[in-house]
Amino acid sequence: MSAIGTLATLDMGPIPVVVLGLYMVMLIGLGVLGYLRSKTSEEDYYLAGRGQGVLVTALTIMATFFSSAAMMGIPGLIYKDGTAFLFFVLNLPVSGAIIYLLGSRIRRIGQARGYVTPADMLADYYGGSAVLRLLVALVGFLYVIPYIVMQIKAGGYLAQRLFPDAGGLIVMGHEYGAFEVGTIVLSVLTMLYVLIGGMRSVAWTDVIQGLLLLSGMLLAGLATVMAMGGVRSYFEALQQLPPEARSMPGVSGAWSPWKLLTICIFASLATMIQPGQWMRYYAAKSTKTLQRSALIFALVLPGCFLFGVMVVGLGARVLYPPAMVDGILLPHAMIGSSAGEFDQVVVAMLQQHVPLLLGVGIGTIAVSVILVSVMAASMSTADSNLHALSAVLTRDVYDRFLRPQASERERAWFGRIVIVVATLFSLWLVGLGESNAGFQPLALIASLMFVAIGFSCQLLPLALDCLFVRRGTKAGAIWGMISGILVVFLFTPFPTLLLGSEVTSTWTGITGQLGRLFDIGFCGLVVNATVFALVSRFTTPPPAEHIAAFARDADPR
Amino acid sequence: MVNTPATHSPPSVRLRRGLLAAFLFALFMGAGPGLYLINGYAREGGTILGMPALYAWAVGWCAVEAALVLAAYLLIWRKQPE
Repeated sequence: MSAIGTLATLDMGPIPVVVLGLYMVMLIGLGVLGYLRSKTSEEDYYLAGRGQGVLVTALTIMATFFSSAAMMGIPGLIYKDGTAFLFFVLNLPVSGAIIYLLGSRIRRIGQARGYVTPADMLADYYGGSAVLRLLVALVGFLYVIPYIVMQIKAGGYLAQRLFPDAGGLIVMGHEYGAFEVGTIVLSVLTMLYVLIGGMRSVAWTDVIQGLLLLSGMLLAGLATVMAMGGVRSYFEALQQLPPEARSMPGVSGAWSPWKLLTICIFASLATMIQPGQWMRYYAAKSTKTLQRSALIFALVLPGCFLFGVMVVGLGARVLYPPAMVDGILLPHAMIGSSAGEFDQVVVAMLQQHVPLLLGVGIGTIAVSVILVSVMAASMSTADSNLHALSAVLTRDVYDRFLRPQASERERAWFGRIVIVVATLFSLWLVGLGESNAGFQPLALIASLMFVAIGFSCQLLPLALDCLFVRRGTKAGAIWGMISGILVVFLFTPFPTLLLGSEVTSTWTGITGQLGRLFDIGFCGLVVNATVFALVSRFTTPPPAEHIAAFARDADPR
Repeated sequence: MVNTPATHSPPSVRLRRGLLAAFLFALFMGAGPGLYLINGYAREGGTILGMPALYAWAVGWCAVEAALVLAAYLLIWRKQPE
């Protein structure tokens, strides 16, 4: 543990600014390049001509999957709860398998029928239902917005850490601190390259961001092990963890085996069928592309977690143990000052130890590169979600219900307006969360992640029915989704905010108990699937020839 | 040409089912109730190959899952038609 003990914050000078600047210029360059290579069609803007190869597909799926949660939320939970949350990693091979098992069928149908959004496929299968299309679009919206919010927040945290002594920026009489500047820069930059080049720019930047992210995760783990004196010393140090931090259900008592199991199965499924990923299956060149992407995902990512950022979270748990203050678990002062700052563990650890280990010059460059990878993790997810939301609202709402006569050019402009409005709305939500310390919905990145995934999980019964089972009906799908969305909504703090705690106390007690036992999305899914099956039992299915044609398109064997 | 009895599954179906069962077993053991087998030992500070018991358990079962995905790719997926 050679480096421990010298904990003063090091002055990193202008290096982080230079590295960040280069990274941003590169992103805009790729955005412009994507624009120059693009064609004017809507399909090209949203799916890059359905011709993405293995490298781009694998890395854009990975980069979309790993948001700021990968570099901040998940190591933050490990720092807070100890080894119990390590088992989250077992969802990665599951997700990899889903890329092929579901993705290849989605791609085939999408290619055969020209689909762009998830609702294109699901609404078409269930007889072109307008209500269903709107519900699927709503699920997309409910998934995407929390995800964009958490990415923007990560940009703010990063700026706070990188430039702790920076004075405020005064614009039109309002002073913006480092956090606000960070959130604005991340969101505006992301918005710009998505606006310029659509899916092509998003996917190309995802390749760079994915590579940065993977190497950043591993470098962060390596730096922590080196800082703690090597592999043997690292594992010996972990023996100092208190019993509750080295066993289930973790320090907070939140991670029971059943909850972890439902997360590993259902959160994986939900994450891999969210609108951004679904559109990446449509955009893949071939089934082989998805097979190889699935394999790369399942083999590479678990290593980056288990030997990368998770190592950092556990190391920090030993070096800077959180403390209970007035009944609230708070991070060590070196990591953060409030319950919402567990997320900053990777950034804080690297800043403390890498320059001491590698020398200030090389160390500062290494830290800057890794911190840029934190930003890359955030941007690569924000861009995919903004892009997917634009497709969903343009094709599933504007084109179908508001202006069916709109030209392709008009739709393209509407899609770009959606990107701008969604970015501003998410920024406003981040600001709201920061100005109201008690506004729990935006407190922790990881909790936002599980709520978003819970909503996305409600697409699962429809997707599985449409791709494999084919026994559901339109009415079953609609009532199932409504039930599932409502159940997930009950798990969020919003009912209490809207109706007051007196009205909601009974069901918050129930949801609190269930939430400790199982994944939120799984709870909604059980109700959704039950209602779906029951209503489908007594209502009329789509015509047999329609189902047969769909089955042929999904799997021509 | 010899007719296969209706009850006999073709090898690929059996292989698929076998891999799926093994995968679900790995999930159940790794991130599910199988954890109860190791949790007491982990709580007492037990180690496996020098690693804290739960850490080693996560690495081990994750490796099994990844190996099963690799097997599925090599033995089944690759042979599927485009």
